[in-house]
Formats: sequence, structure tokens, C-alpha cells
Amino acid sequence: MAYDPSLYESRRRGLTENYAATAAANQYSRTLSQQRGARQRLAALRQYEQAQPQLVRGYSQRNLVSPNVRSGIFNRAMQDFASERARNLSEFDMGQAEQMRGFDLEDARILQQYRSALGDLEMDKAKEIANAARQLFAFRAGVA
Amino acid sequence: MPPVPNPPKGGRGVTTYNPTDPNLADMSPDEFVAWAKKNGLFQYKPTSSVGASAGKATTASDRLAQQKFDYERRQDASESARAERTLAAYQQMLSGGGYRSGMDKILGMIDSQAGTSRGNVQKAYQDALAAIAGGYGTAQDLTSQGYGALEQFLRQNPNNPYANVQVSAGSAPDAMEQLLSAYGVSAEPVRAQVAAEQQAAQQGAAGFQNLLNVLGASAQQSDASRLAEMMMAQNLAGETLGAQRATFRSQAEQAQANALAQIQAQLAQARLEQEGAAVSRRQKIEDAIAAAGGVVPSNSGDGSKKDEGKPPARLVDMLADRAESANPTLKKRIEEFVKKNPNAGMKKIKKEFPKIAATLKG
Repeated sequence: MAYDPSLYESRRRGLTENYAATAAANQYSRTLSQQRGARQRLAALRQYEQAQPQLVRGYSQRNLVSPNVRSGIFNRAMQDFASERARNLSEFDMGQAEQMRGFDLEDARILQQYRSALGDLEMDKAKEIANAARQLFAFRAGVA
Repeated sequence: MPPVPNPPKGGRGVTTYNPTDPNLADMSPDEFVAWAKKNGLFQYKPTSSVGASAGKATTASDRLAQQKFDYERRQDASESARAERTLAAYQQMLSGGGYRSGMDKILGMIDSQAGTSRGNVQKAYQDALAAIAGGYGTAQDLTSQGYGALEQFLRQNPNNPYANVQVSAGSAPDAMEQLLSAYGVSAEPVRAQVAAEQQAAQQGAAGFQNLLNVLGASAQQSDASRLAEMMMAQNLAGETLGAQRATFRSQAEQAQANALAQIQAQLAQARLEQEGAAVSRRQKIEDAIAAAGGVVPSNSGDGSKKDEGKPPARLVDMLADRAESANPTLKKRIEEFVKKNPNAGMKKIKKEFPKIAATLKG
């Protein structure tokens, strides 16, 4: 069994192409998810921006708020509004971050798998070289 | 029977007998009588006729009988001398080793041929050792290059992609403090809410970092394992090459020993055949000497000059002779054995060197 390095180049090419395709697909999915999240977050912010004047206006119409009036109900409503906004945005951000982490983790896993496969390939190559060297030795010694 | 010569003619046209005629000298008595009768020289009767004629006048027949008698005496003397010369020649051949003439030359040629064959075997052995050494060096270089490239690859490509993943908790949303402040509303509850959310985000990030740490440690362990595998495989390859080299050397030594033993056996066989022929020839000469009534020389020996004055060869000496044509390792073993056991017998030699012992003639 003679050592044929071209076989290893073929395997290496296959591994690299597979890694590149998988990693690129993951990155693309990540980008799409990120953009989608950004749009959704922007829409949520816009909704809160639009809801806030309406909230003040409603309390104002009921004379619960004016330049000289500060009712406890209005104060509580504003605090609840701000808290809910903070919670919703935070939950959305965490959800987005988890999605991004999932993509990052997949990216690292793909890279780790690719490098591991390359290491195995290099190991196989070194072993086959050693095996070929043993056979060559036997030929040179005239016993093969 | 030699051809009967033409009858010599006498002066009166009669056939006469001339004793100096060389043709007659080679004739046996019976031939002579036949010839004389044929030529009418005499009516020969056995010796009684000679005695019967005493006191009578000598006849031609009597003279002829006398001449025949003289002739027979001369013939007997000649034959006796010839037999003595032959006997002496036989004895000389025994005592001088002449019966071995040519044989020693053949033995010399056999020895010379054996020397040449031994030289060829030694050269083949040296060539085999050189090929083994060269092949081993090449194989070792190739193996080192292969594993060297692998080690370089593994060290230059540490496989821990999890270490490069960026983890952050992200920024918490604002608490709308400016807006609340504009309406004179306290932002304190909202700040608490935001802090709680930030803490939750940080916990999530820390959890993810832990996951990455575990995976990274596993990847590093896998890297270390592969490096160890590489070293083990490299060691195994080196050891295998070393074992192969030892095996090949041993095979070459064995082949050399077998070839030398075969040469030695063939040499011994050839010598045996020549010596057997010499013994056979010597025995025939001795038989001839005995048949001729001679005495076999007591100091004749086997006539071989090289063996003169030598005691019979001992087994241990024959073993020592084999060391000359053996490979260095075997030679050293034989020399040490002979040194330790100068009087070793076949049993002891056979125990140490069974193959050589089988070829020794003791």
C-alpha cells in the first residue's frame, strides 16, 4: 500500500467545503435573525412611544394630571408603564441574545468539528506515512 | 602374444637361432618352442632329453635346448627385476605419497573454491546489512517527517473555538427617568425593575459562558488527547522500525550462517570423497604390494604432507575453525565457548551450537 497524498487533499477539500458551507449558512441565519430582532425591537419602541402621550392624555382628560395636579393614580400608571416597557424590552433583548448565542455556539461547534476532522486526517496521514515507511524498509531490506 | 618373427636365415639357407635377436628376447618359452618347431630347428622335448644326451655327442637339438634354458633363465631374471622395480615403485608411491598426486591439487582447488564462496557469502551479508541500515534510515526519516508535520499542525491549530465566542449581557433598557421626572413621578420602582432585568441578563450570559467553558475544556482535552495519540503512534512507529531492523539483521545473520554451514558441509563432503578415493587407491596399492610379496611401508601414513606430525583433529578445534567463516556475533560466541571449554565434547558442543555440531565429523 503506497502512500498517496492526493487522497488526503481530496478529503481535506471535502471537509473545508463542508465547513465553509455550514458556517456560512449559520452566519446567514444569524444575520437574518439579528435583523428581524432589530426590526421587532424598533417596532416595540415605536409602540411605546406612541402609547405614552395617549396615556398622559387619558389621565389629563380625567383631570388626574395637570401642571398643578399630580395624582397618585397617574404617578402609579406612569411607573407601571415605564416598568412594563423596561421588562418587555429586556425580555425581548434576552431572547435575541439567546438566539445569537445559539448561532455563536453552532458556529463554534462547526469550527471545532472541522478542526477535529482535520486533526484526524493529519493523524491518519502521518500513520500511513509511517506504515509506508515500514513497507519501504522491508522492500529495501529485501524481505518483502 | 607378440608376433612371431620371420625365421632368421643361416648362412646355408637354413633357419638358425640367434640369441641376440631382440624379437626373440621378448618371446615366452612356449612361443619360442612353437617358433622353433615351425621352422624345423628341433624336435623339442622336455628337459629329460638334455640329461639323456649326456656322454653323447652334442647335437644341434641339445644346443638348442641349452640355449632355451639360458633364455628362460634370462627371462626369469628380467621378469624378477621388473617385478622388483614395480614393487619398489609401489612402495615409493606409498611412502612418498605419490598415490595422492593430483588429489592434493584437487583438494587445494576445493579449498580455494570454498574460500571464494565464503567471501561471496560475507559480501552478500555485508550488502544485506548495508541495505538494512539504509532502509532503516530512510524509513526513520520518513516517519519523523510525517509525525513532525502532524505535531506542527496540532500545535499551530489549537482546537478551542469556544474560547473566541464573545459573551455579553447586553445593555438594559432605559428607565424613562427623564419622562417620569418631567411629570414629577419617581423613577425608583422602574430603576429596580431595570436592575432586576439586567441581573437576569447577566445570569443568562454567565450561564452561557459556563457552557462555553465546559465545551472549551472538552475541546482542549480532545486536543491534548490527539497530541498524546500522536506521540504514542510516533513511538510505536519508531519501536516497530527498530524491531524490524533487528529481525532483518537476524535473518541476514541466519542466512549467512546457513550459507556458510552449507559451504562447510559441501567442502567436507568433497574432501571426504577425495580422501575416500585416496584411501581406496592406497588400499589397492597395498594389496598389489602384498600380492607381489612385498612389505607395506610402516611410515607411509596417508601421504598428505599437511597432516604430517599432526595429532587427530579434536572436535573443539574443528569448531574453532568454523569461527573463521562465521559472522561476528557467532564468531565471538564460538571463541568464548572454546576458551571456556578447551576440551568440550560433542554433547557440549551440540548443546551450544546444534547446527554446527551436526556438520562436525568427530
